[in-house]
Amino acid sequence: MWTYTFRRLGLAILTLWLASTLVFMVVLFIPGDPVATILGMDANPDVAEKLRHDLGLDRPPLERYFSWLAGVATGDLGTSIRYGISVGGLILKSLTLTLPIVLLSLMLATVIAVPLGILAARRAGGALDFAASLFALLGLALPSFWVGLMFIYLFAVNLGWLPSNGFPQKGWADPLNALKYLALPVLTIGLARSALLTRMVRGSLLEVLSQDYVRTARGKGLSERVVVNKHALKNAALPVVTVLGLEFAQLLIAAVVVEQVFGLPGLGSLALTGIQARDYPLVQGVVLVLAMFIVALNLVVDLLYGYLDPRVSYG
Amino acid sequence: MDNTLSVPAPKRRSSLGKLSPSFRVGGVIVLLVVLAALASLARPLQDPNRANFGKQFAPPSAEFWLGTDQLGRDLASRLLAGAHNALYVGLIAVGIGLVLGSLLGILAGYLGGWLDQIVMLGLEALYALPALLLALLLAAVFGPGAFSSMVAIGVAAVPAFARLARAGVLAVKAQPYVEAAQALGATSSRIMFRHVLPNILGPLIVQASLAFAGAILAEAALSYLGLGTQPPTASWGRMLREAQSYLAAGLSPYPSIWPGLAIALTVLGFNLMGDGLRDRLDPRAKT
Repeated sequence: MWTYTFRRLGLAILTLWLASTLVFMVVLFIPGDPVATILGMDANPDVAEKLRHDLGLDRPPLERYFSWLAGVATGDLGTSIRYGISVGGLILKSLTLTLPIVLLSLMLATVIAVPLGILAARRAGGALDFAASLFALLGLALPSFWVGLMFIYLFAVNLGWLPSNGFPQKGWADPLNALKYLALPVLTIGLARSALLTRMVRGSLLEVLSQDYVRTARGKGLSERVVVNKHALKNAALPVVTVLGLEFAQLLIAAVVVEQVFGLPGLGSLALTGIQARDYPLVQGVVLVLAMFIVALNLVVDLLYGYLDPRVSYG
Repeated sequence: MDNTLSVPAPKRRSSLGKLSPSFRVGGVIVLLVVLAALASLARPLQDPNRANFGKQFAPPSAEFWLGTDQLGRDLASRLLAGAHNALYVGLIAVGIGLVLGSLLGILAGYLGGWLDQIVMLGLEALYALPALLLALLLAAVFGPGAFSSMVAIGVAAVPAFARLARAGVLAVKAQPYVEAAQALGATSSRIMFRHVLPNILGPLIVQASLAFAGAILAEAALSYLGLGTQPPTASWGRMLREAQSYLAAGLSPYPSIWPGLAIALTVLGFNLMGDGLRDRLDPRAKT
């Protein structure tokens, strides 16, 4: 188990190193002079020279690469051109918005998907099962940002129940008010992501329910509730855990897009501001942090999977 | 009525009979989208970029079947042009993913050794950079545009294709016909592309259909964020981006409704087609 954990950890670090190298290399391909692109052609030469130095463009690429890697390893992602402050600080601040959205959406998706998936599997082929399949198909096909737009039209424009845009100045100092601004985004993302999850729970449980030990449990005369809740669910949870990990990555991406629908100043809008300002240290930082989350989650899921299922070999 | 159909080509009919309902429904939807894209080239309606001032936010009518947008442009015509754009971007992106991914997967699987290790590691790293992240990077460097988004979506699709191709090669490599070809002195590249590739195509085609659905969604999201197709080219995602503020102001819901339905329908079509193809082409997959 320990060898496996260390090997898996090593792979994750190697992956991160490769990803950060990719993120670094992109800048080498900027056509023309990046400083001229950022400041415009008729920029003050002194200002241009200072920016060139700040960005490290007056140093050879290999040296820049190593200082970038050293920065990534120590959590220093450089300085934003647009804001003039540390990229890490900007990202941390937007994470206080993006992470709650992601976590709340994941909770909502699970709360919807697990009971619905179980019900659909227990009555496989029935009307509820059909409805759940339809829900899953729709969830996969409907673009989440469009669903967000429709929610704005329904809940904010027509019914006037919830705010459609922005995040209060006071932020989390007034948590209830802050949550009101997150309600529609979380509903949008959570509903969309619960679709696939429902299908996974259903499929996984159906597979387990067809196994011999479940037949034995039924043969012993156990009630269907005990068979499902006590015997089948634990084993059916395994594939679902894997999917939850992958879901988290998808959720993160969905959150970046849906934030934009509701005008929330999270990671997504930070990256988009960066692109408009050609602030590539900022964009690189956001992309790298998101990639780190994805790698870390894959790692956690792999380790958790081995822990939950003793049959998994660590070969 | 029905027996007239069964007479002429019994063999073909029996193979068609095996196609699952999801493939038929998906196929019909995809066909409709393709027809819409082709029709847009013939400009059956108004020019999608023609502004009709004084006729902004018109509801659906005989003149404008689906209504007009904030510039009075015909939504039906823009929707057709959007189909063309979506299929074009999807085709290029899936093409990049399919060709690059299959090539890497076949090479890694067939040649094995250190090449295999390096390719697999590279794919692992790419997994950490989904299409949106690649698109953000490319847009920061080259500026936003259809090109950046196509490349980003295509490259992000590479790992899935490569893994499928590699797994297929590993399964096929030990088959007697590959051994026979090796014994006959065929070169590695001939074996890989003449003997192995045709036998692992099934799962790759299934993945291409599913990846197409993903590419349409990704393109719409990127264009919605302003990272993809640029104005005035009609793109479903871009249409939603432009319509949003007018929707929130309660002006007209139509410019926000149709593009979303078009995206959903197209994605549904490719997903259903992929599911149906899997039942048919991928013998290992369970239904």
